[in-house]
Amino acid sequence: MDDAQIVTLYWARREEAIEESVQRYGGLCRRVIGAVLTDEQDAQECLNDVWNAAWNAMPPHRPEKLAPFLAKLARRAALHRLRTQTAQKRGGGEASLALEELAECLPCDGDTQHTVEQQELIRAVNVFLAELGKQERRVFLCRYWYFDSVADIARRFRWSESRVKMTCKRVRQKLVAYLQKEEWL
Amino acid sequence: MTVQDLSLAIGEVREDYVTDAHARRAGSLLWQRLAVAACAALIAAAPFFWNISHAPQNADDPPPITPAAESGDYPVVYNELVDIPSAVSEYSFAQFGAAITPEERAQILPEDWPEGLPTYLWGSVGRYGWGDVADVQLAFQSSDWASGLISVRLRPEEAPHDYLMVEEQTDLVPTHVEDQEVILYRYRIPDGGELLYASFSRCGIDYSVQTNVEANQNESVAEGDFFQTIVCLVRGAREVNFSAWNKLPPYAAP
Repeated sequence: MDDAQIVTLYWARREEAIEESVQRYGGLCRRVIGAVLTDEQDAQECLNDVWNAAWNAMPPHRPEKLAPFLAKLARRAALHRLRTQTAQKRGGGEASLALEELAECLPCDGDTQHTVEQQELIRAVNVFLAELGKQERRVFLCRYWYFDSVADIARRFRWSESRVKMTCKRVRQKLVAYLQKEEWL
Repeated sequence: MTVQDLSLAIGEVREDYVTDAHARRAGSLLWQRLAVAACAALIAAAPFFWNISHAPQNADDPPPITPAAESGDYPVVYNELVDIPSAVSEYSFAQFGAAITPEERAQILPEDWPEGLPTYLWGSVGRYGWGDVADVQLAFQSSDWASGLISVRLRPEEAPHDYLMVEEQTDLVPTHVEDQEVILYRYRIPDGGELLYASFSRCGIDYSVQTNVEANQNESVAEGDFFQTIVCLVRGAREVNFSAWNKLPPYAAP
């Protein structure tokens, strides 16, 4: 069954849509969630949240490709759950570490008075990513979208871990410069 | 803006970027298998790493094929220090070479590969001055030797002396190859050591060479530091990797 057929099932409010989604994309979503949440029970509950979210999102949405759509829902649900957890900041998996690294891009006082126009920020980040080289963009998204570990990225790209770290650092520095230029910082 | 705002924004970026970042790329599994095989073979071939008896007398001489390569053992055929006379060059370098065995050639090259089969390759690392690092040269020998040579070299005037950031140089022109885009990355690793990486394609084969220098202190590399050269050839899902360790040679003053 292809993506269009699965989406049609969602729109027809047929529960096979979820069964097909679990079968085809359960592994992907579990992996995205697993990078954020280390607790197995949390991850399983979060996965259920994803299927609920997908059920509620289609309709009105009709995504052409389900994989990135569901992965996005999984990431969003996992981060939401991570934020609401009382777990210690450290030990929260690759996501906590990645978020700490991203925090270096921001003023450290943490009480900025700016009201963020989230849609504008998304647009700005898209522009930033478009200006990066392909490999830099891939590494950046592996680290800060999928929350892959440095070791995993090194294996994926056949790079040394030092090279991955250096690339991440360089892209973060570019991001700082870009956000400053665009007056986000 | 908080880090959560930024993270949420990253989470909503274009889907094609997200998909592309995790796209399965050909050869990854084979790479892992070959990497394991290469490690095992390198251990087995360790005596060759320090064997200078097969050294070429100059960089233009083809490396000899040793019995190890002919018998199908992993293909490090020589690996040694080579001093270039100052009249020729102002730096010394160490190099290693490898012969592509028939099995590997069948694995990596198409059956209808034209004349000029690459049958040898070698990598080298050099140093421009004391405490300064380094260039990388990757050469491929064709059956007709002279015409198949590809060389990637960072010339001294292009070598910055205080590079702490990665640099990408795409304007290098390899010798004897026209219309060839070469990307050379140059790193200083914060915890000591240096890394050079070059990649390019030719006739449907992706070549890459990576030289990782391990400094013995948190200083610029110096004589005696170890370096590893890894050469990887990729065609479709097929890969062949070559790797060797050596020590940085003493600097040959001009």
